[in-house]
Amino acid sequence: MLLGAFVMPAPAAASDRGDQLAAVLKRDPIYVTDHAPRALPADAAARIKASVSRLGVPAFVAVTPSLPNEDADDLVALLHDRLDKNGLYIVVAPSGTPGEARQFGSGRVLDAEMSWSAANNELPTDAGAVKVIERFVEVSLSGKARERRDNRAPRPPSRTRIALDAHDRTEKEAERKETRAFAAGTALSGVTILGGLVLLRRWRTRR
Amino acid sequence: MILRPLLAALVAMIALAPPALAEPYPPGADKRLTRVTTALARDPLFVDPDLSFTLNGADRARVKTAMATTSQALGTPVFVILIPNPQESETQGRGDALLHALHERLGRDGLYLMADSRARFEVEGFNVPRRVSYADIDYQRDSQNPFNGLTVRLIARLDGVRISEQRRPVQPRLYSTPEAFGKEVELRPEKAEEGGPFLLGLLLVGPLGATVLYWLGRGALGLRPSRRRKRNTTPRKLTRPSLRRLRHLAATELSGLGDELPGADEDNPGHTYAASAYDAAKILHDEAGDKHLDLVGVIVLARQGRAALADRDPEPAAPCFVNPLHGASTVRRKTGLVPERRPICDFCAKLKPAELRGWALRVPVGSKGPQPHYTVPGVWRDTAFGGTGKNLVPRVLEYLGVD
Repeated sequence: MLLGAFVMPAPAAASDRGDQLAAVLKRDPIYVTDHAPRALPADAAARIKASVSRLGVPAFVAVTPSLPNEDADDLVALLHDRLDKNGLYIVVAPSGTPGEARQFGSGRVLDAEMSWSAANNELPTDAGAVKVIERFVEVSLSGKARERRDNRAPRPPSRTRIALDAHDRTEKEAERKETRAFAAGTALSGVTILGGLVLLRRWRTRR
Repeated sequence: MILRPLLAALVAMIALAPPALAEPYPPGADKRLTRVTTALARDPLFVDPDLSFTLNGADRARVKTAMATTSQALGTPVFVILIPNPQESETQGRGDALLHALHERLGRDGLYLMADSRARFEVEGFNVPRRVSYADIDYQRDSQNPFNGLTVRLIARLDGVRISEQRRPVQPRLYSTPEAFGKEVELRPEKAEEGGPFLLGLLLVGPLGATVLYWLGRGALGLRPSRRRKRNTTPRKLTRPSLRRLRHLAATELSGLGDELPGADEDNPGHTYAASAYDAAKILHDEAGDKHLDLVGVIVLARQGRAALADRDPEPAAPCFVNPLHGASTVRRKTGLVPERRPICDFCAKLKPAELRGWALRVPVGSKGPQPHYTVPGVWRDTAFGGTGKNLVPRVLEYLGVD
């Protein structure tokens, strides 16, 4: 008891948030926030539930906005502590990043942390929590979590990156056209005036 | 007759209907707006469960007291909303858009104050009799622990509005609406604007560049008049002029004299010499063929004729002995080229005798190649192009067989 009194408590904010999420997960082990409809489709909770049910272990999933100074890893530990149930715990932001997956207790080993890392690296940063969880389940079931985590291919570009690249291309094309127009204008007047000056000079010297 | 009141009622209904949402949300995307407005209808202080840790019971009571005081002072309701508003929200993380959406759904004017998940404030006053604008406190927070002092900041912000300048209540407008769902990262393709660059090149850079190039070219080619004047003071070497060059010079000088003579005053003391020099030069030119020295003689005679007219001089100066093509002589001295003293030009006068040989006129003689003109036997060596006496014209005419 005395020893316990000297253990550093978790920050009050994280603890309160852990309590709040734990209360929600007690009612339904899959919680999807309503704060991010642009990243989460209307059937997000159903798709996540269908996906994690394939793993064959109890799963507690919280898709929730990340707050300042909040660590998904700490939240996962807090949720396990509050719910006091073994199984797979996932806390992830609506966009899919940041997030954390950890398995507690015995039973089927999923290599949760490696699978989560591999799933994240195989998808763009704005894939969304649903796609990340679906890929995580696929990696876990493949039994090749380590290989897929270690053999990293370049991460696919996000929608923002793709749009920016396309915009850059149009910008460069526009620049080329403007440079050509500038060169044409310069050449047209420059050559004409230079020719005129040279002819005028020759005419004057011949007189 | 019955239709008219019906139409009027229909028009009134349309006019009074609440404005449609600027961006219709897809099904299920406005769940939280419904959730928040339902809660606000019951309690003007809304704390989202995700931010419930930010205010405890006592804090909430203090904030509510401040809300009541402000509401009483303003004469309008006051709503305080603590809610995360991430970029992925229906309002794209924009606090002003969220407050407008809540006001629209709630249908109640008043002061709306919001704090997001980073404790940043957003305030909108809908028909509030105060100037509601940005305040420093909206963003002044502890960057490490943004929710520290949240209660104090909220109360201070409400007090700030309460005591701010009074003004006629207005309905604020949203300066732009959030992007449609799925169109968040669509960027307008960049269009080329060719007119401006073309005109810039055409009207400014082209003319400037042409002018600069022209003067650079003139500078490089030595076409500027100042350099021509400079060359006149230093005679071109012309030590081994080609036949073509001599013919061109002879024709130019002869036609120059020919042009000047008809208009010349017959009383000009130099006229007689000029006329006789022209006659001799003309015949000499016609008979010269490939003879280099004859062509030099034409040039000398024509120049002397022109000088006689210009200087009104019946006895124009003999040409430079070193090279008659240098022009008129100014001094007579030993040259080292021949034993006698000879007339030479200003330029040659400044040279040492040893240097003069390099400036001497040379012409091809048979198979020997170019030889100094004063070594070639004939009328030109004898007369030194007028340098040995004043009888050049008669000697030339004699050489030509003209009496």
